[in-house]
Amino acid sequence: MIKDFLSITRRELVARCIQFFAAGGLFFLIWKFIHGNTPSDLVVSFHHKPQKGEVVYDQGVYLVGLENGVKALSERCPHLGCQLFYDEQSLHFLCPCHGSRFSLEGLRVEGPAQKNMFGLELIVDDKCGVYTAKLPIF
Amino acid sequence: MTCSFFQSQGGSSFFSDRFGRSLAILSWWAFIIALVSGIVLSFNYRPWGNVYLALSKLTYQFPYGIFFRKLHYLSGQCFLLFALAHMSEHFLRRTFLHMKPIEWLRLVSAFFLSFPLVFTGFILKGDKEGIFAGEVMVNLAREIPIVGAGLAMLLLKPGEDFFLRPYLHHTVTLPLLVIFLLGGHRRRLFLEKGLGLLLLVILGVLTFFYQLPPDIPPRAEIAGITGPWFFHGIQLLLRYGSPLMVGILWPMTPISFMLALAFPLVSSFRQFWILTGILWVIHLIVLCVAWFLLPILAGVSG
Repeated sequence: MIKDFLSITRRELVARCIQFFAAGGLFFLIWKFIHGNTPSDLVVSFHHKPQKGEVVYDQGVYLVGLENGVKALSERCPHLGCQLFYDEQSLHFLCPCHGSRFSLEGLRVEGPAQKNMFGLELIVDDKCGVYTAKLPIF
Repeated sequence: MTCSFFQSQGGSSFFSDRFGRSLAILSWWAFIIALVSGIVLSFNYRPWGNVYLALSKLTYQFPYGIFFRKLHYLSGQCFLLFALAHMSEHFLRRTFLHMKPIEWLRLVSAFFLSFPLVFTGFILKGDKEGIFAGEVMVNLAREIPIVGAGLAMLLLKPGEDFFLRPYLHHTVTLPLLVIFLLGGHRRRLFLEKGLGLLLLVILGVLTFFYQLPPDIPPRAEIAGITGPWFFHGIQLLLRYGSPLMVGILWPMTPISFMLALAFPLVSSFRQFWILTGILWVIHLIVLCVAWFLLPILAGVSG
């Protein structure tokens, strides 16, 4: 068997090496595919309370100062998941992909989205002035 | 009688046969160039971590990175365009009437898969457009009844490994499927090295003059984001219609009609062939309108 192995041509050796590395690479990718990191909820903390009409952003969460308190909104458009951005001129959240538009409260104004923006659970620590929102990864 | 794929069929002239054959050869060699340049790029590309930053390094810091990225991009686009032209030419000549149903099914499927192949490549840019394209792809898949959730899981996993599955599909699953589906076709095309070499030289020269579309940083605030050029029609319609109707059924209809032409029971009706042609023309018109309208709409909404 060893004799057979040693008697292979250079071309065969190169081909086997390529096959070996290709198989190894593929195995690694499939392994990552199956056992990759499990997505977990992201916790985002804000150390600043936004004033009325003010919008603060961090890691996919918009913290909006409203008349009756503070609201946390996900940046994901409820239509097809594009990241909404806040337009300071119109005071609306806009979708750059398909043109949906949401009010400062996260309510749908126009566009193809059928739902309002996703509201997030907000934990308020008044003593320290920390606002913590939980962003589910889905 | 089943004719060979490149034989003169349906009263077509020698020129049209030769023309169609050239398109097939160009498409195949564009695929090979994309495959080889993609392998070179994959040595330095990692589909995890900060992909945008890693791709910027790959493009501007690694030796010949920009050259291989441009070559990969241009050859990928050529592959899609020549495949589109090749399929159109066969469709117009009605060669499906003289082919085995399985052969037509395989070729249309390979043609169909070339779109997700290029689309996943677009996602792998890792920039804002790529991330949005991935989000839209997975959310569209979720709209499919019954199998949608499972399909979405196969396509992309949100979180840290966002790019891993599109990478696996772009580098392994889809290229292998295309190669498999082309079957005996590819053996014949491999022998035609002349045109392939010419294409390589043209694309090689073009890389020195062509500017890649700029990568948009993931955190940049931009009013209008667009997907790959062939997706613009769907993107425009998604502004007005339901995701299932215009994102899934709309693009699947002409492809399904093309697949149905494989069966003599369907293809014997000339009206069905005309209807399929009309569907493709409507798609083309919507695409052209979208190219014109999307930048305007982005300006309005921004």
